Amino acid sequence: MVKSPKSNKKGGKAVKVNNTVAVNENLDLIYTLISSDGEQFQADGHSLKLSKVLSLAAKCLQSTETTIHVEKVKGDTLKRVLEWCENHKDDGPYVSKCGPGLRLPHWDFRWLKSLDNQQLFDLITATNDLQMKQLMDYSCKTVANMAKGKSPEQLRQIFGILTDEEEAELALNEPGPSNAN
Amino acid sequence: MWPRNDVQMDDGSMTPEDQELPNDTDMDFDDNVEENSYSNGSSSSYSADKLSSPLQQKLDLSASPSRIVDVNPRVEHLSALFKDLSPNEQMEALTRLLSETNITNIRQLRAIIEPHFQRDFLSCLPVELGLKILHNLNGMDLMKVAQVSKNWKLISEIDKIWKSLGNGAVNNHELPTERITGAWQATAVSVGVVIPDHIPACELNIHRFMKMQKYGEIFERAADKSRYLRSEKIERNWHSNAIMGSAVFRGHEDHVITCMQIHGDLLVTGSDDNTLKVWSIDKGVVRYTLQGHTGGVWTSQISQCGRFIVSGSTDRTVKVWSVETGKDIHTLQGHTSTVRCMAMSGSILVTGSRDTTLRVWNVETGQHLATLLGHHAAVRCVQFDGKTVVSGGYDFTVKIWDAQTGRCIRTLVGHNNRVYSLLFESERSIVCSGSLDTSIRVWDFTRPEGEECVALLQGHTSLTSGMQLRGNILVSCNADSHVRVWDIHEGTCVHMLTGHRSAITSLQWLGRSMVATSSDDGTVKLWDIERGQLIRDLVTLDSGGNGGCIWRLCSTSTLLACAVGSRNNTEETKVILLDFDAVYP
Repeated sequence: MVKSPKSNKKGGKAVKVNNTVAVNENLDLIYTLISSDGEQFQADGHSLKLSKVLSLAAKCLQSTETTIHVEKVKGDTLKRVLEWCENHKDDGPYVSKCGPGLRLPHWDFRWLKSLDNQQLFDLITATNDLQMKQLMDYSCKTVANMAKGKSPEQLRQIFGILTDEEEAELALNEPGPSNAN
Repeated sequence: MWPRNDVQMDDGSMTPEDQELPNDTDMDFDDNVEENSYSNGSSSSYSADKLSSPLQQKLDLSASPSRIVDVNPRVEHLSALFKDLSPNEQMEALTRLLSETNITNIRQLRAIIEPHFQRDFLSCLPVELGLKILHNLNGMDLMKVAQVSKNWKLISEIDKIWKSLGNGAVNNHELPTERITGAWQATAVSVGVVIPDHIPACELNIHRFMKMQKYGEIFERAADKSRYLRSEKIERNWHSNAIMGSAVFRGHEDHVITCMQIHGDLLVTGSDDNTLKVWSIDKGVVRYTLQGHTGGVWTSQISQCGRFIVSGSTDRTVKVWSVETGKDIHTLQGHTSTVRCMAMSGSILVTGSRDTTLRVWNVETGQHLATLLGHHAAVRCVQFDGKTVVSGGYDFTVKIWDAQTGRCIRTLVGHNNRVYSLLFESERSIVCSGSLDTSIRVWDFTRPEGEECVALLQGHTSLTSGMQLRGNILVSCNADSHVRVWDIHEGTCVHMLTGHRSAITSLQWLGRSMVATSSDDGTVKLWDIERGQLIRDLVTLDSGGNGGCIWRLCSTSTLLACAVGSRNNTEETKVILLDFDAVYP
């Protein structure tokens, strides 16, 4: 995910304190992110801004360093996180609206819907670890939507839950896929 | 059989038991507010291991079974060929193979594959994240979630979710009531009184029995869920459920009930038979008949503390009665004609009279504090918030007074005929006045003099008898038999509700968006003012249209009281009560 450096939109800003200038400059830097299983990705500061953990990590880097080790997130999940960030890097500030009133933007709705349950849950865990409020709200809402209007039996099917009786049976018998034909 | 011990959890996701708390001391997060929404993994989900491991077995596609299998040469041959195909060719082959095999095999395959794509999110994510997901669901869905498994039930009943669901929507209902003895024993259904959705008499006993357990199982384990569910049940009781309790309070025979108030368990009726009656709603009995006036009672109030009842009469006096003893404490003299209207705040009372004046009194001491002079004709209606008095008169004006000094601050001019009804919203200094000129005017008296009228609501063709305001939505009922819903900010009429056949006498705004109206046509109707349609008829008098009418409505969040009677003896004078209460499940 290589990005060419963006032109500095904030060129007109007066220099106030050294800190401020440093942060602004960082936004256009390209960072290398390494996932827990060693995969490498590139992202600029604008993308990283969407994660409090990542943007603070970037801020705390030594001046010559551009590599961030994202120890808690696997490669394919990190890839998706960065894909989402890429799509939202130009967004304005986000106001959290948890609850039935929250509506997902079109792109996010479709993008999240294309993930399977495992990927979705990994994503939610990642948003928690990386402190990404917006993506967390959206992905939690997506899971909730899967549960909406469903009967308990349907919920069990969708989320692969055993009834308490089935569970008890399983504990006794431990069946597995049989090779008999 | 695969022995459990050999199965690895290879899908990489960590259950809360596996998560270790990282020691990220080089990152300090100074935004504390947002932190609370993140889980640091320290709280584990409730016994998740039981649920996840059986599925992990099925899930584990790559761990090799440790048992020895007889090698089938034909299958081996096929597998070898398969391995050499490209991914696309493999897909093609798989599709082809699936179409060649039978349904039993496909089902078994599904059992292997499907769990891979299912994730029990409540058991696998930290509780805080699971809660965050559940926050997006409504009450109905949460109930279904509770039925999925023990673990899900536990998590779905956590108070936080139900508290946030309830915000705004949940009324602060009184405690579950009795309403089974006294007048409640016999229902209000009788000759000439039809309550279309009343439960049949044979089912009454069951309902009374169920009412006895006021706090159910759910309340014991999840109080906020119980509170929410009770609130929803009460709303449904009003809207569509069968009416499960009713009563009749009889009194003021052959006379008119002129005023009615409810305060807690007290119901007070005033009549032109010169008396007032005080009833206990819960017990269904009359507590006192307040006697002493020598003229008809036309207005009454109950004090905020519930200790005093005040009444105004054609005998020109105001009487203060003790709720505890039923005796009159003070008789306030001063007015020189009928006392027609009154309003009270704390222990300060303001009365309006046909003698064109208003008077301010202290009901505890009986002291007369001020006389408000200015109206040129009878004072018909008054409102008071403790500081400011708003009065409407037959001189076509609305006046604003300072109760402390007795001075008239503003005179709101605009109506072309008598002012009959007032609504005062103290917080925004908004007054709504209904007049015989058929219009409703909305005033803001903080605006410059002469510019106070902010809206002129036209549409009704007769006198407005009642109004209620919530936010910018005003509901009015009129002698032209219509209910109108207005947006006072836009000055427009949003809905017009037709159905009544003659003058509407009063209205009560209930729940979120329901309004009950009473009419001279002898019916009480329930409306949905959001959609602008009739929901149902609550009460119908057979004598309606022939003299039987409903004069007034009073309500609490779980009770509707209807003052019923006639001027020609076709219907006896009484109060019909309908119970909409529910217990805590």
